[in-house]
Amino acid sequence: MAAPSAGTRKKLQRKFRLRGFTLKVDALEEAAAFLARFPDAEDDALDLLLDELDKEPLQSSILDRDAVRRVVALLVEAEEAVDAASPAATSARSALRVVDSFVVPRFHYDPIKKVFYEHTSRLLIHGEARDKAALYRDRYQVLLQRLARDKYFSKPAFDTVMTEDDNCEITSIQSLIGCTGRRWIMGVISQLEERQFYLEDLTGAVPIDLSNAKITSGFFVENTVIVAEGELLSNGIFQVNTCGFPPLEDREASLSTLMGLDFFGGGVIPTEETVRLSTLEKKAMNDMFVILSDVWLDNSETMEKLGVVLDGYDSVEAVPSLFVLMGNFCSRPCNLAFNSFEELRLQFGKLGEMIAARSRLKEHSRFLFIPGPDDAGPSKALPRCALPKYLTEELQKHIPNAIFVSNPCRVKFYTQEIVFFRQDLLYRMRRSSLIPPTTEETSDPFEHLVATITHQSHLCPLPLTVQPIIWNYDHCLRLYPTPHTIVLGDKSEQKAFKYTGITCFNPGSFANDSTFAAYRPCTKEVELSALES
Amino acid sequence: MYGRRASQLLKEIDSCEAGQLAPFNSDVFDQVIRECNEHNTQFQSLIRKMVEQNLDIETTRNEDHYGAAVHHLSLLRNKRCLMAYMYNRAEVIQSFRWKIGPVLPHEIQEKLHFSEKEYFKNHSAAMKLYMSEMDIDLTVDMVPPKDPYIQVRVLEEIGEVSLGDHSISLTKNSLHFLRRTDTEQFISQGLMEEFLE
Repeated sequence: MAAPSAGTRKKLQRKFRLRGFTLKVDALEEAAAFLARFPDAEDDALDLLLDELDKEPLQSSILDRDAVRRVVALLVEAEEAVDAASPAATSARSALRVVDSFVVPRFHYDPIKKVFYEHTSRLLIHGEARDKAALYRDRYQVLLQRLARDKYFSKPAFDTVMTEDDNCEITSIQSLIGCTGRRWIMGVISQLEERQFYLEDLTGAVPIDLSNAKITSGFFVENTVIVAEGELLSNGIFQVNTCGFPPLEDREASLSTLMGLDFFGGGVIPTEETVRLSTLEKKAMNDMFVILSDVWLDNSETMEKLGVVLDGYDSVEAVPSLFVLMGNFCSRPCNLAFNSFEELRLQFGKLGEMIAARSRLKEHSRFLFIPGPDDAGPSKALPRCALPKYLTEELQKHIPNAIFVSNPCRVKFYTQEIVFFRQDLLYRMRRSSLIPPTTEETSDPFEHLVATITHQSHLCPLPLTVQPIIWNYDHCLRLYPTPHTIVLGDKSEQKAFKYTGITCFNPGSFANDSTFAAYRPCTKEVELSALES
Repeated sequence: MYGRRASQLLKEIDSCEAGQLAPFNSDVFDQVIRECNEHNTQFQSLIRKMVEQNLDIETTRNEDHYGAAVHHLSLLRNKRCLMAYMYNRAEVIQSFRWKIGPVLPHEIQEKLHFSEKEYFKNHSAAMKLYMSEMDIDLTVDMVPPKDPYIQVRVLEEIGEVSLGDHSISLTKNSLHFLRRTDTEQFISQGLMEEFLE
């Protein structure tokens, strides 16, 4: 790298000084090299560079090479993108952000200061004993702080105004002893002794009697957090009269208290940007996501059906912007007895050829692959990492921009947050339900499932013995603040349900019932579709 | 007592040394806002009660009127306290831009609320825009120095930095004889100090 001339050096230093930055020698060289790319528009390039630097999270006002290089790389990339493709394509790329589970930031709640703070140290996959305790504590605290803002459960604003009758403030379980009369407690259902259920909170545990309890809709599974109203009997058992899940909070209300914290992953968007993006989102009439679950690549019938679906979408005027293919990608489970990985690799290659043959789809659509519960991978614990490279290489040769992500994964479309999760949840939830769900509001099991996961703010509130979860990555399964849309890939019957503004749907099993779903993010409409057999 | 929490916020500001910040007390802040909402609902219900009794709100002086007045005044007072809290903090945050520069150290960042961080960024951007349009650095010392050069001692490792037309290696505890304008920024950030024999 040639040493920058004295004139450029002076100018750079002056400009950076005006903005309050000091340059290290190597940073100066980097910046000068960037300017040298634009011999006829040096000033503009410099202004651009400085503007971009402001947006970067900087450690210090003394700039070193890395900081400048990062920004330069960003600018160069943006420039090349403009050269290579039409501006429409670049805007579409920024519209869709896919967030892998393993990069979602983790937050802890500080109950004294009543704020969330980010976990900064590295998260181990194989955690220690205290990480398991932290999993339960964090889950509980997220729900408790949400409940504390609910108007029925919050402390009255003035201590003097005592309204005994309609105040349902939560009593901690430890201080339940010695209290008489009706009390509200919140805790997680656990089975500390065989056949005796307990309600546990951060202070203690109390045995409960659910036999006469009136319940709200949802599956009451071990490990779910419930709010229960009842009385402590003289034999030490808490007799529950009514119980239910902690009430939901408006997305806007949660967001206003979490301002500036990136719970979803994918970056904090400043307020002005949010407004701009949401108008863009409303205008994105043509965008459509097609979601297929259970795409068995080794099954010729499934592949034929997939061909029909792809042909169908290839011929429409506006091709879908995103295809989400969820596992399992093999009709047999990839367990220890499975040994045809090479075949599976070739089948992925065949799928790539199939997609590449539809030139419009290949050019305008993106493909997202989410592993299923029985796909190849390190373990069955959630979250699962993306499919191994060995299997996907062949496909990536044909479709270079295919995205392989973890299960669950999150997609941000402009401002809309969508969570994709592939797990046969319904069957297992029904199986481990402690009380038959009430039929008062609905008798549809899918609606009960949706109520359960949204109220629990957790994708998989099953006991860890039923569904293992990587302790340190439990936060990836959280649904707080509640996303706009949740896609639950399940082998059961396809269903869509709008619950208090949250769109939830199950695309159904493509291999078994030839069902799939199309989702229009601008109107949040779900079209449940099926191929005629 | 109504309004006590709000005054707590101001006491907190008052107990800070001038030009310094305590962490943003979002807990008490939210509680005061909840109090305001409660005052508002109480006030509304009292007025509604008076309207239902067909009383003239402007002239009647009964217990409901005085109750409403107390709520109204408490509401205004709470609001004023909240504004004063925000305003005083904003003043300090503005002064940071002049004293410390465009990038705040981590210790200060932690104490700011999200909206305050945005405020700092926007304030900083506005200043930059003005300064680059005018082509003048406003953050330098307003009093012209007697001697344009200054002897400084480096307090923390900085590394090789280019100043003026030459680059200079600023290692810890080294002594340098530099132009005053170049060093000002480092001194205000606490990376250097003036060396007096």
